Amino acid sequence: MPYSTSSQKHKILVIEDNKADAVLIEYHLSNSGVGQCDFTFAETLEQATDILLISQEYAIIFLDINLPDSNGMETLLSVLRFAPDSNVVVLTGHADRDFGLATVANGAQDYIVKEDLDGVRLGRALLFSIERNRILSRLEESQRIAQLGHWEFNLKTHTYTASKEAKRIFGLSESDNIFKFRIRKHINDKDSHLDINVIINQLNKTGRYTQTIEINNDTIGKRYLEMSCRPFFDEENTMVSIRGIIQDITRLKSLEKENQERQKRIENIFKHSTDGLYTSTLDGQFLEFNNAICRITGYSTEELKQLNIKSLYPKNVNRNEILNKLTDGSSLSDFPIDCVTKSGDIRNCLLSTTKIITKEFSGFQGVIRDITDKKKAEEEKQKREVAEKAAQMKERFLASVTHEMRTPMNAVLGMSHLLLQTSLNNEQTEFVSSIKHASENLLSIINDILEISQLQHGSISLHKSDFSPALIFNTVKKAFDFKAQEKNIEFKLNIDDSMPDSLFGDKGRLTQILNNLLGNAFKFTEKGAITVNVQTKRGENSKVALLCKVQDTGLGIPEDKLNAIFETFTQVDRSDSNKIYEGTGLGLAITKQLIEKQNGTIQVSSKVNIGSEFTFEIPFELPKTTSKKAIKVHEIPEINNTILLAEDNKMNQIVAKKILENQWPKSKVLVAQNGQEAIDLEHKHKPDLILMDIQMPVMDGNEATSIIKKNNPELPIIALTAHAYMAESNQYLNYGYDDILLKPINPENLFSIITKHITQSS
Amino acid sequence: MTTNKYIDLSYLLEMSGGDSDMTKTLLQLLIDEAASEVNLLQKQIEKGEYHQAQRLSHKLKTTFPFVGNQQLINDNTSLELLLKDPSDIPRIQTLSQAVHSIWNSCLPEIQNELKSYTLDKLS
Repeated sequence: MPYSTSSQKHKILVIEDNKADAVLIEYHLSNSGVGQCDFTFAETLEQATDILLISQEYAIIFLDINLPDSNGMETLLSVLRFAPDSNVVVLTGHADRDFGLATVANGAQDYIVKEDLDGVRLGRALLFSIERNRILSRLEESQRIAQLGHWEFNLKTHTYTASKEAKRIFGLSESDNIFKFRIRKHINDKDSHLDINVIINQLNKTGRYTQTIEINNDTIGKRYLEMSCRPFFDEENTMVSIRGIIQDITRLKSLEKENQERQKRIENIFKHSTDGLYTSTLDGQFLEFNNAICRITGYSTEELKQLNIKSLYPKNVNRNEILNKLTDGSSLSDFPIDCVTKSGDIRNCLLSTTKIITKEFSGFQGVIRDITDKKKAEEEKQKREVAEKAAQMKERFLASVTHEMRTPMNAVLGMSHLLLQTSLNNEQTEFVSSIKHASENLLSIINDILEISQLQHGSISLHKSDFSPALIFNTVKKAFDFKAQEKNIEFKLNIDDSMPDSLFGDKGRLTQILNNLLGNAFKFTEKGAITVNVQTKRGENSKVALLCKVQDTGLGIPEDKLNAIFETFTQVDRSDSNKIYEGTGLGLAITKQLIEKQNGTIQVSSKVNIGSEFTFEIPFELPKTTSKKAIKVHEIPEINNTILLAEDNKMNQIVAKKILENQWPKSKVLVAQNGQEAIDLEHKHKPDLILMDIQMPVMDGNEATSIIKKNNPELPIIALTAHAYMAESNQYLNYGYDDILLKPINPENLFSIITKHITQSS
Repeated sequence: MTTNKYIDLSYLLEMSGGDSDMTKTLLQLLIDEAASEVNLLQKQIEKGEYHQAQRLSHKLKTTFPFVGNQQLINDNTSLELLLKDPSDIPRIQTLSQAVHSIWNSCLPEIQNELKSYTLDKLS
């Protein structure tokens, strides 16, 4: 749009074939006082259109409609086609006043009769144009802000005109000629409503046309537009033009879509919520509610619509008393309330509600949460916890009581034993023996109860070490040999050749398991044989499964009792037997739990009066070090040295001496009973290494070591001690010892420490 | 002979390496020396000679593994610890009695084991 101010030159196009008239216009305007003017002249329509194709920024166009190449109204319309936004003032003759008025009706700004040309008229026309341009400029600005453009379709000329914003909305540039603009070409082809004939038909019918259209082109992408228009008629009521507006509502549409999606999400939440959501009137009539309300109350949607919320409250609860306290906007949160269902059941619920009083809505919006199942689960959990706690307390009580009972029982046993050593007559001996026997039984029961209690309490830990499985089985076998002789039962132990020399695990628990199973086997077998078969299965990662079968030819177990025998305090009813079998019924339960504690399994098969077979399998690890045999051959070097052992405990003396002499037959082992003897023997025999017990009579190991080290600091002296803290705290180093070995003696450690220090010193 | 309820000779047998004579020697030592030491321990505690008792308890600490009764080992270990600072006399006396009683339960089984080794040798 051309824009002019008084400080600028006004661009003026004069389309006039009469040069005198053109000069006259230039003269009058230049002297009209409207400011400086910049004139462009065209003598023909062709010249004019060429000029307008280059620029349309003219403040005013003076048009003589009778040109050499065009006459009459067509001249005006042609110019307007090229410069639709221009202010065209038509120059006519005296006789053409009516025609002048017609030109205004066809889009001219004004007309001037040539005979009346003067500075005042021309200046007024120019100023009017400038002002019009300003107004149009503001209108364009407003349209741009509102994203709203106007357009017009002339039914007579079948031409469109449109504001800049309308062009922008359609993706056209400001300089694009309006004649290139065809609404249909820019609109989704599927949308036939935009055909101008359809619009005209609609306008003929209703007088208005409004349509939302979606356009999608490369320039502007996908956009939504709202178009509305109205028809304009001439005096003969013939539709001459259509004027309309076009508004870009893409953002509005996008917000609308977002709102719809949000609404959909909210509806989904509303629909699928497990909590009951509702709105109601102030007096409790349901307005909106979701399926959860139906599910909680048991009423159908139709039934709820007719129902007042008050009827869901128990009879002794007054809804109004609860809700009347609420003021506008205030809420009730997680209020525990019972809900009476259609069937009359009570559901435990939490009510959260807000009172709303606005012009649009007065009532409550709320949430009903059904916590019946949760409450029930919590109650059950609490009951379970109480029961578990009670069971734990019972176990602890049992453990505590049995532990405390064991001490006096041991005293009874010990005293009975001592009493039997004294001079007693036969009757007294019999009485005391009975006391002792009963005490032994009682102590055994107490031990069993303590054991099972500890197992159930999880307070039993495994003490793993390297052990010889063959030794364990043979030792246990030996323990039962006398029993077998006593009962005249054949007792066999078969150990498979594949059995490793040593395994890593809890040998004590393995012994206990064997004792329990064999104890049972001997208890219930009066004739025949008891056989123990042991073999191993190699597993992955240094694991070896020890498989042991204990078979007997005893009473056997009825099939229906097999599952129960591993339960605590369970014994098979032996009332059909002539014998009375003592016991707590804990042995097999302990055995099973001990096996399971070691990740093992136990199974039983049995036939009444034929016998039973208990099979257990426990995974053990292979020792991390190689077997003892291998150590003897490959790893422990042969030494030929003198070793002095200072130890007051005879058993330790014998054991240490024996295993050292067995390991190194060429070495000499000297034994000192105390620290003083150690000093004397060291002085006399010059040993290569000393094993020094710390706590000894006459002189302790610490003092003896200090004295020896003063004279012979290079001599390796190894502390032997049962004080674990000495090793942990490295205290032994303060006394001059070179190393420490904990008692009871572990041969491998003993060999290892001796070879280490003897090798170093040599 | 009954099943051993109180003793577990695994360690003793492991140390003797299956040598029957050495096994017997060790069993005999348990019967002779350890038995008198356990009795002495109780007497020392009764007389309030706690320092001597502590030394003896410590000595027995390396003897009891040969018997293989874990309760005996544990009670004696606790006793030795308490004797270092003999303030809880009732507990010391209880533990002393416990050690004594358990030992007395173990002793017949040790004797039986020794007997069986002797019989084995005779047979």
